Amino acid sequence: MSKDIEELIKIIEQEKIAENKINEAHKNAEETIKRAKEEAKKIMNTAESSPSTTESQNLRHKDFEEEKRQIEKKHERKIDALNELARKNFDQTVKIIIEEVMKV
Amino acid sequence: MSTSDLKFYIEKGTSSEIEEIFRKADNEAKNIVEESKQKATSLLKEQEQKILQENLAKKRSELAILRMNQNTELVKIKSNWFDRAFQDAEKKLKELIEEPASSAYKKFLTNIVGEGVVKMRGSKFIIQSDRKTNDLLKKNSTTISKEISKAKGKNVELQFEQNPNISLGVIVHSADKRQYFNNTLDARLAEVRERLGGQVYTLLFKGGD
Repeated sequence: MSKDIEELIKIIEQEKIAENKINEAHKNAEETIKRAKEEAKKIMNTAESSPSTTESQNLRHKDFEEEKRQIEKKHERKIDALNELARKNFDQTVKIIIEEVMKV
Repeated sequence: MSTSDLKFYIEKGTSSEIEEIFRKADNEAKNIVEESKQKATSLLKEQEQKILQENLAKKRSELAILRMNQNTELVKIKSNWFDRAFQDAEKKLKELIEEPASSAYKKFLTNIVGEGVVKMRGSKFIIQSDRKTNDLLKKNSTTISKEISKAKGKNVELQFEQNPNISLGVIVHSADKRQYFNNTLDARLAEVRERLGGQVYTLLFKGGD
């Protein structure tokens, strides 16, 4: 074999090695993208099933219950005031009704 | 170009191609993760917003129901006092009538008979009432007839009848019984209740807001 042919064979082998390396690099790159996609999927799954709002919801629910309690208290005070007024004005009202019934 | 130069060229070319492959893959991977993070953030925001809207709607409807129930309760309380006032008035009126000999009752009787007679045509009337009242009317018939004749502006003839269906008060009938004027206590109370309804509420709850 002449020296030139020997050199040529070495170059071809070198190119084959390079081709293999590039193929390996492509495989690695695909793997990197695959991992990224998996991570992305995980992120979305976490977000979709996130209980992150529960705490703030509980807080708002507590506020709302307090607001309702205040409204109830105000209402009770209103009822007490109404009953008090009616008790105070009752006899006079009955008297007027009787007068009206007897008035001809 | 020598063989070693060519080998060097191949190695260098390979390295830079591999670097480029990795760079592109890294970039794409970063973009994929970054994009999913952004999507996740906006998804969370959307969920939060949705829950917020739902809670707001729920809160509004609960408050509306609460206020509606409270208003109903207030109306009921007022209505109960209104009924109690009329029940008490009725009780007191019955107590007054329990003493038929009282001048107040005699005057009341003359007035309610007179009202019926004056409002109806004719000069002959039948006055129906319960036993006690009937006895009292008969006993005082002369005085009552005189007063009523004066009020009507002509002589009237009154005939008194007992009616067990009447509890208190009178029903004035024309002589042919084709017309009548219901002046029983129940009728008078019902009339006052209808006429004074709003005023009674005002009287009971005056001094408030």
